[in-house]
Amino acid sequence: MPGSEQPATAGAQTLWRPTLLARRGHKDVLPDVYRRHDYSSISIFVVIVLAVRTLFVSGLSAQDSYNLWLIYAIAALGFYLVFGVAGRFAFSQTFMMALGAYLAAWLSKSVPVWQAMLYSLAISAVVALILAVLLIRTNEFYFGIATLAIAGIGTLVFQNWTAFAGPSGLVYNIPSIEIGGFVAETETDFFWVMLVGVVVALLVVSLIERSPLRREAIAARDAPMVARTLGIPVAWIQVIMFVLGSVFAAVAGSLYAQWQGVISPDTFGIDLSIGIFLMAILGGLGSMWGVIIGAAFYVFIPQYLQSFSQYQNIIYGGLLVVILILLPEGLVGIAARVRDARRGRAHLTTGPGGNGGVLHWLAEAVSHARSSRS
Amino acid sequence: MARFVALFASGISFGAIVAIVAAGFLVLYKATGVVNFAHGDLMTAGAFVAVWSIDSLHLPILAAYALALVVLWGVGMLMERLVYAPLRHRSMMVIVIGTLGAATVIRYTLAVWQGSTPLQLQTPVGTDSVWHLLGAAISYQRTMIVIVAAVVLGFLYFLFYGTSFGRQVRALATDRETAQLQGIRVRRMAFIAFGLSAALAALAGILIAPLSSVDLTLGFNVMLTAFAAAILGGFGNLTGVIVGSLIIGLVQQLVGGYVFLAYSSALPFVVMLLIMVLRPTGLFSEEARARL
Amino acid sequence: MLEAAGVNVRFGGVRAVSQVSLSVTRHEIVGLVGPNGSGKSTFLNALTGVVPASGSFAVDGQAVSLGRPAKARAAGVLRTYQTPQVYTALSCVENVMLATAPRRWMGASSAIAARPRMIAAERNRYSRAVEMLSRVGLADLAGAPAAGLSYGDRRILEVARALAGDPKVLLLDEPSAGLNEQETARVGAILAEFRADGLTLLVVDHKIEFVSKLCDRVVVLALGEVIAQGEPADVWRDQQVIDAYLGLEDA
Repeated sequence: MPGSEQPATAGAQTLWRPTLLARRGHKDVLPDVYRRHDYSSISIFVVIVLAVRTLFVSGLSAQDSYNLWLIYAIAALGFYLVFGVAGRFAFSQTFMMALGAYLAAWLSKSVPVWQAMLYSLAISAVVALILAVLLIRTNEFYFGIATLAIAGIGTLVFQNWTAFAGPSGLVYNIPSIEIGGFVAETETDFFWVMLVGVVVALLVVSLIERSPLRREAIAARDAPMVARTLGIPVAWIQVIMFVLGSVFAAVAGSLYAQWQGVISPDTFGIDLSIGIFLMAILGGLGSMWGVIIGAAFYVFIPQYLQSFSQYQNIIYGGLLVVILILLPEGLVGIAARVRDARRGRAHLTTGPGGNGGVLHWLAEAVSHARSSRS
Repeated sequence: MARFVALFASGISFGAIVAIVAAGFLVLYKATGVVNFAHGDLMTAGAFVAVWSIDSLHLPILAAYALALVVLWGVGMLMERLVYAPLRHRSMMVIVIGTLGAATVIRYTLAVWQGSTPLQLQTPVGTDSVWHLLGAAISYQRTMIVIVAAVVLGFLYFLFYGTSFGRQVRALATDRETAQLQGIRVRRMAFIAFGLSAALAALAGILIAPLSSVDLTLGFNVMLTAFAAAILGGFGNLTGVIVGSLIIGLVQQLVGGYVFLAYSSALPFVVMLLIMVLRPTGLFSEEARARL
Repeated sequence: MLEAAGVNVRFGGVRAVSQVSLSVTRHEIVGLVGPNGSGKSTFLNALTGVVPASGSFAVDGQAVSLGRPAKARAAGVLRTYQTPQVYTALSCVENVMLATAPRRWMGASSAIAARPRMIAAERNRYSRAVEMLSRVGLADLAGAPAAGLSYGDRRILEVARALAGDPKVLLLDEPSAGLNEQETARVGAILAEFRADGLTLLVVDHKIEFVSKLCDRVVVLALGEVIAQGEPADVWRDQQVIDAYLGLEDA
């Protein structure tokens, strides 16, 4: 919450040096966030993804994980919008993945696959909109519990509604992606589809972040009542972010169904819900790159811990707690902290609770040390 | 009629279990403000420890139950030390995500330790024995559940309203800062509340387990149902939670038993969602507004 | 300009504000004073919809429904808080931009599909926000994270944000609280400067000197009720006012 923490010391502001633009008298410019080089970053990301794939990814199982990473990245980017930027504590991300997947599978029995995908997204968006409008005014834990309940109801429906989801929610032989003359058949084909998906998702997040929506979402997240008295439509902004993030999940889900050809309710179970939290917390919610890195850890680390595979989920759970305790801003947070410390300025963070970067962190550490001594 | 009586009886006994779970939940929430998402897995753990004590340690059934309660009290305290204490100065959201991590650790530790095959927990009254009321067969286990729940909830009433522990918990729930200034030892209270809450979860797990089987998902749905009951009861006091639990139990068994058989376990969630839609800010609202 | 009549606020069984009526005319600066717990801040919270309240409230002759923050804002009522509520996750200029109207080209669709217009609107907001920051002396810190500001600067930033929303009436909740004399003087000077532009202001505060210097008129609240009002110098001599203040100090 803004203003609630200890005021920084008087000397603190000297840590920030005005930029050239600021000194010139700021005629006709924009806040710093608009000067981010997102398009270059996304291009570099694509180059790295291609290079790593060419150099290191061989064999079916490696390609499979690589694609899974991209799918999870799309869902996690959606979660970044819902939880990171808008601050809504939601368990519905996996439910929206499942909804997207089951809808795409069911619809593709009667219409061409690309139409099935489109309809699936549209229906998922409407479902997310209805849920958000009904529930967005609940407080953070009620919202968390409500979305958990929706995920629970969803699982039951997918298990029991045979006409829609097949016996016990098992669906086989889901047709592959087909757009125009292109039919995705190999892992490589799917890789391209998913890469396009991730790039589109990154672009959308980047456009949202370089717009008034980011600013107002942060305001609505950190002190909703203050935001309301400033005229910010808090509920509506959170609805928008929730629907956007849910659509990302539905895309990821429907891609997953068409890629694997088989889905069951367990594919999108509570473990994946917690996995998505882990991706977000591990990578850090300071920027959209955090969840991409978080998703990579989530998918690739188990590959190197084959001999511990039965302990995998224990490690995940423990890691979640350890990261919360030791790295409040995630892996990306460390990088940003180092970079900003070198430039001699406090850095801005986007994630919930991460307000104010180094200074805030120091102030907190100091007050923590003080309070634990007394 | 017999069918109604049977469903009504199972509604009451399920409600009684939910009430124990929700009360454990409430104790922790009141004393620390934490919404513990590991509560369901603590339930599961209680049932597993009881099964293990009987099958591997060959303890008598009641001794095994007691051991499970003690072990889970310890697990609760351990959780306080490892998860809550290091995060206590952070936002509540961070602590709650921490409990999610703890839930995962507990669940998969159980999986590694006991495997994922469903197990059977014995009960002192026997799983198949029944008595009859108006033509309906009511199992001794369900009867025992109601009696145990009544005793435990009575004890909790005494604890909340008749002891200094209860006064301190209520003071913490009203205003943490003032309570701290008045010399309430917040950390000690948190330590005890985590233990007590986990033991209550374990008790619920032990009571419900003989009705079906013990597997890793035993606690999760009951926990969600208990959330629903707590929210229905206003998340405020023990009475509200108990009434909410009984309503939820009856709704699930009666409505589910007659109409939506396949979806009966979703009914509590539907009730909860309806409440949230109608009263979105719940009872937290005044508190939240006053704090800005 | 601002007319509030019979405003009541209850917390459970406690009447925090009871039947308070108060009006502020255009370009007037009114101080709302009273001992701690007298309901001053709660009254501001009631007018801005932060706490549920009953009573009638009108701005510029237009009725404003109580209990709806967005309505109060739309009617031109902006405010600050007892502890400065600046967004530490945003930069100073972004904090100010939160309040700058009009709210056009702000949604998700314009962020994605109408970027040139969205950017143009943002440039406009940015330049107005920076202008406001330079008037209050924070222009150099425009791009700096608000988290790095001192307490006094946070207070000033918050005032600047409220002013950037073109308030018809500005409500300040204890603008001098937590500030040293020098900082209080800075806030006073800023308000005096904007007063020359015709600002209409309702200030809650308990620093008598600060209020006397700034305000045209003072209203005194005690235990949720208005007990006196008038010119500052007269009000301080009122026996009831003296009793209210001293009575609380005794307790």
